[in-house]
Amino acid sequence: MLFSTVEFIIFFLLVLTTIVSIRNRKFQHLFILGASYFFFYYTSNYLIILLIFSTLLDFYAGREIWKTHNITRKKVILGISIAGNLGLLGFFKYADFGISQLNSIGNSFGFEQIPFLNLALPIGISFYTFQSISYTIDIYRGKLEPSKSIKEFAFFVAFFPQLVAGPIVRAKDFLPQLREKIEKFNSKKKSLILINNRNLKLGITLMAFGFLKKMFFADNIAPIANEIFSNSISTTSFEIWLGTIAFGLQIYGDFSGYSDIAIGAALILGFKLPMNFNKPYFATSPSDFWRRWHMSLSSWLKDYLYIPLGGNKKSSGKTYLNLIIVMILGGLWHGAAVNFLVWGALHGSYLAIHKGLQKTFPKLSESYFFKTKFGKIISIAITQYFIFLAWIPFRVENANDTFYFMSKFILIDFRILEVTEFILGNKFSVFILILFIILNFISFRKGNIIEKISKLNLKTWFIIITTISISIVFFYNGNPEDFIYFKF
Amino acid sequence: MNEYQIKKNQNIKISTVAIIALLIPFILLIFSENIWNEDFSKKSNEIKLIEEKKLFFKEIMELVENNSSNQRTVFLLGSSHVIRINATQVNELILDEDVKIYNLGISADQPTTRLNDLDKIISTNPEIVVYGISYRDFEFPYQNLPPLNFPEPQHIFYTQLGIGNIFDSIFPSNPQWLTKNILKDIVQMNPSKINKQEKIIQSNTPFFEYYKEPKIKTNKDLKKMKPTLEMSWTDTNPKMKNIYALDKIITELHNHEIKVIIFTTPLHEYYLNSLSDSQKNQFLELKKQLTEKHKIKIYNFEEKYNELNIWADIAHISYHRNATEYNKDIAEIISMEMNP
Repeated sequence: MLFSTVEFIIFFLLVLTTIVSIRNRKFQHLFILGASYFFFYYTSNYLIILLIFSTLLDFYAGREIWKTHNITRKKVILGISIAGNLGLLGFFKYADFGISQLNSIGNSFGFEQIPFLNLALPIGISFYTFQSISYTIDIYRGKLEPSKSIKEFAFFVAFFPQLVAGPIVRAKDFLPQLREKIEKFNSKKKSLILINNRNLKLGITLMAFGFLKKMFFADNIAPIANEIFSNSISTTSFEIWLGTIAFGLQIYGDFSGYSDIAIGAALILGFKLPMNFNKPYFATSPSDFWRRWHMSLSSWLKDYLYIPLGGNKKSSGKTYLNLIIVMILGGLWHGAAVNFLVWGALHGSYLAIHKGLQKTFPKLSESYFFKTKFGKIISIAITQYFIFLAWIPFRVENANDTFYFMSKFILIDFRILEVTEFILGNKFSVFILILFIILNFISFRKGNIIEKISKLNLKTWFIIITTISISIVFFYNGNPEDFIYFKF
Repeated sequence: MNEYQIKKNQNIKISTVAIIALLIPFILLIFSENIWNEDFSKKSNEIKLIEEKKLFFKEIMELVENNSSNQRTVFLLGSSHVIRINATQVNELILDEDVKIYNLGISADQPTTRLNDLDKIISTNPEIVVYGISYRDFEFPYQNLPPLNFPEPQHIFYTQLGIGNIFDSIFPSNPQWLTKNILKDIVQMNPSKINKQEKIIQSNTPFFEYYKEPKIKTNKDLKKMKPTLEMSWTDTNPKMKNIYALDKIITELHNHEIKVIIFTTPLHEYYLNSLSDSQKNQFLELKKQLTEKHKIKIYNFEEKYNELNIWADIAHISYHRNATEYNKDIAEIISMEMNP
């Protein structure tokens, strides 16, 4: 069920109404669990079995890891849990990618081609499997007590606002919130605890901004990137720059918009989900970018991949290698294709080079220049140049086109006529793109605008929410783009 | 009033305000659409097309019923790639007075949507159905699943409860189009200027409006064009919805002894060049599967007209009177299949 559909609005209103009406807190949570499964079933049909499998596997694995004192047994159970989840992910997401690679190798030796499995990719599998894996690993590390009931754990895995595209929630952050609501509650005024004034207003504001980012900005900017990247024939450098900026902003509006809706919906129901974006295009270094972009994934990769690989505790060479490995795997997490691998490898290289520079020239990074306003602008510009360059392989699947677009992005041909014609032919989309850049800049300067708006008096808040709704409804193009991250 | 009651009231206030804020733009949108001139809203609202479509099927059915027993009906089905076939010209080229060609192509049509009309098409008892397929017919919309016997809530929501359809019928299908034109209209202060260009609809091609003087683009113009479609077409899994729908359409037509001709619609080399090798291979694989399963020949016009100056854009042949090659080929395959 897409957030940007009538079905979701009706579904969410029904969930809220029922929650307010149900007087027994346990039933409230059972209802949300049931609603979450319905939400998933609505678009994924019987693939819900995979979600249930993952839930059962990790619930019992977590329990056994906690119970046993034998380290080898703990490791074996953890291994089974990770293998089960990654096996599921690998089979559904990467089987055909693996087969195509094997076929291309086999081709050169004259082997027979292996037929593709052509499996439908279960929605959200990359998110809920990572969420489940973090649960068993945290129990193994002794950082988390296992869930006491399957209902509680299933609620954590399937909670509908974050089920299909995150943020990737950690059990240690989520379960205490759930337990607090189930166990410590002893008042009769139940619905108020779940839906309180502040959460409701902030949640609605977050959702409104999420819809605005997705339906008004991302969907209306998308045609620029779609048109420019759909064909490499005689595309000029400035067109590619425009297309790259458009795609960077589209994916940001799309994914951060989705995250805002998810966080807002969860907040209305009384749950705090982790922030997923923090103005990433104002990052001053590659590592700063990853502290601001898809934060729940980058912190997951750091805690469950980078640190176990040795992190930065070993030699410099090993650290750089770890960074590249982690980012390549992070790239492949997005999809089973070479372009995501290249995107990950580029980001891994950026992080490694940045770390290397910091180590080689320690005084440079601490110099006064980079603390000045101008120095910061220079840092942002350099960082974003490379970040946007990396969006090209992410967006363009064809290797030849990717090479062409990237080379033209770097080696500017200074042809201005084509991009001018393009802008004149796409005035509306370009206007929306510029507006989005300006609003992002204002948001960067003014801090958390969404929270500030949610604290305004009801009249002013109403005017702002109405303006947002009008912008969305009147500029909805009737052909919305799917949420990009639903594919992952 | 106790604290609980105050907070509850506050919640109700916030929710009410949010719902009003959500409703206002929808009311304004419907209001704007209704006060604007008729042509304007008609163009913006696809639901009118659906109404016309329903009427058309009624007309076709009546026509077929009233026709002499000699009448041999041929339907052309497909998306905008098929609409560009001039049914009148094809009819003339076939040189058989008993044959009547109807082009039922609909812009952006896909096998899944076409499947809904299948019963009506079968009930008119055509002799041949000519179906034009292309990459965009199998674009991967969102999530495709094998049609197992699990209940489908989406189907219940849209078809059985009809809730989705209520929304579709109330709201214009492309509010942005409406908004932009309203703004243009206000700025220009000249409402009559909009949508007043002369357009023609032919009775045998009911879902296609074209300008009196259709254009042919030069190669230079075509070179500048880029496919606007997002080619997220994925694979040839027979369980994918559109592939499954096409398969079902062919099977049903065969079950009713209606001959099916499949052809691939023409695409310019600039369009084809934008497709990846894997997309091309998957499309080939799909054609192979269809041929093997249904024992039908697939006519390939995909790359046939690259050298000719007959293109409206890189995905469509022009409807211009001089762009006759496409019509000739369609007439030829119909004649061949009618008189093997």
